Amino acid sequence: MNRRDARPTRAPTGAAVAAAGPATIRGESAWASVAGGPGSPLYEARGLSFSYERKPALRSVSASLQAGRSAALTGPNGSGKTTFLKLLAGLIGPYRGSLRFMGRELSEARALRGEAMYLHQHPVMFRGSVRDNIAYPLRLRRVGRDEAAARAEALAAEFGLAGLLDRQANRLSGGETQRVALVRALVTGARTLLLDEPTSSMDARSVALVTEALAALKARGLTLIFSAHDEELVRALADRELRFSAGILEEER
Amino acid sequence: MGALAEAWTLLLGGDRETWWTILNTLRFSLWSTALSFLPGAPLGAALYLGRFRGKRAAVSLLNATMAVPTVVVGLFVYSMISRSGPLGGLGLLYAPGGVVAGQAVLALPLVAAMTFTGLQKLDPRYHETLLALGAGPARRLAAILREGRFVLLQALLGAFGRVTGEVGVSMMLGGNIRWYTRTMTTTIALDAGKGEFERALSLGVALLAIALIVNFLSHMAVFDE
Repeated sequence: MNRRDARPTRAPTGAAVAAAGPATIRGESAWASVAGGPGSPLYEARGLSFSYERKPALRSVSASLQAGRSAALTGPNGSGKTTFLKLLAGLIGPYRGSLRFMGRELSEARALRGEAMYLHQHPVMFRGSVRDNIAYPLRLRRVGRDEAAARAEALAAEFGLAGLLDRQANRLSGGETQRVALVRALVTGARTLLLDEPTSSMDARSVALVTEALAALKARGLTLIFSAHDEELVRALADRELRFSAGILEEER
Repeated sequence: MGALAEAWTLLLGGDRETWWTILNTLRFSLWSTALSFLPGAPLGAALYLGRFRGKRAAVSLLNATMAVPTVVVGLFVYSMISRSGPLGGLGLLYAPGGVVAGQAVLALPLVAAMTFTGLQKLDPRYHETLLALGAGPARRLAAILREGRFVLLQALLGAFGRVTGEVGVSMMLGGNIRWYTRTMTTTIALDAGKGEFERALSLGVALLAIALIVNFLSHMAVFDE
């Protein structure tokens, strides 16, 4: 079987999903049209290792993460959770071993095709308004200014962020920033979110709002892969828990 | 003491040759800073953004080129623009264009290195977020340069300060020709050599003032950020 045959049904590109507008993330899961549907392998890691300079951060991790399921990465600081997430997001490399996304090796150019979005523990907002920030990924995909702004507004309204649209994005609170970053990641139609400790350093109300937003996304069939120390968040969102220790996948449950 | 008083008189009295030399130096410096900045800043940013084998060696090479003495840069450019050199036909040697070209070559690695070093101090999440959102290399470069504009301003001012204060390149490539290629530093070297300190001192004061202004602006840029 050649490489092309081995690949699952090609998923719509980020741009194609984006072109369908925010409605693509509403209501029923869109996985019927994506890579075999819920439960099919989304990520496949085999003997995955990564080192910063010469310091090993991840050692021979093998795991399979399914589409439409959420997985929590837990473990102490420095155990490899963020490194694993960044590898899944294609932000760092090169790695040793194999890491496939929808059947395609992640080291290949454009393997992620905008399907998976990574969110930092403390997301960065660009200069400009919240509207500009949410519209930014659409502008990158050559969506016209007016259309991008309209779609940003529609999606922000859906997440209860309409009142923030004209605020300067870099002056938001931690909880607001995390929610705006979520919407910014979703605006292009990404179906997988990779979240690094999404509720850390937040007050209780912000934690509740962000957890609620993530639960809503999970209910819509999005794949959430997140690192967390917060056991309540893990209980609320995770279908599976992958526990890391010193760069090793210690336990799965 | 008399020389210092005479130096102030030359400056404050508006001595034509002194002020012509100051303005000519600034003209050369502005041109050469611009010419070094245009390729240097994107080069530094590309080095910051790039992921390639040998990046560390490239950075080391860039830093090493900053330490090259000005006369060596002058010699290199001289070999390029002298009559028998590949660019000899342009007639740049002992002309303002030669000084500007030499100073631009001198400042280019400085601009690239300052841009690279400055951008490294930016929050790394910024670049990662751009990558995660799907920004291509050109968009990332533009966004990083916009975000790091205080870094660029510092690189610009650093290059300006460097070329304004250099003497080797201007002397070798300009020939220190009166009313034509003479700069503050070459005048100081010439006059001090002749034992005529008045103009040298007046130009030294002007150079010091320029250095202070450039440093002040550079610190303001960082402070504002």
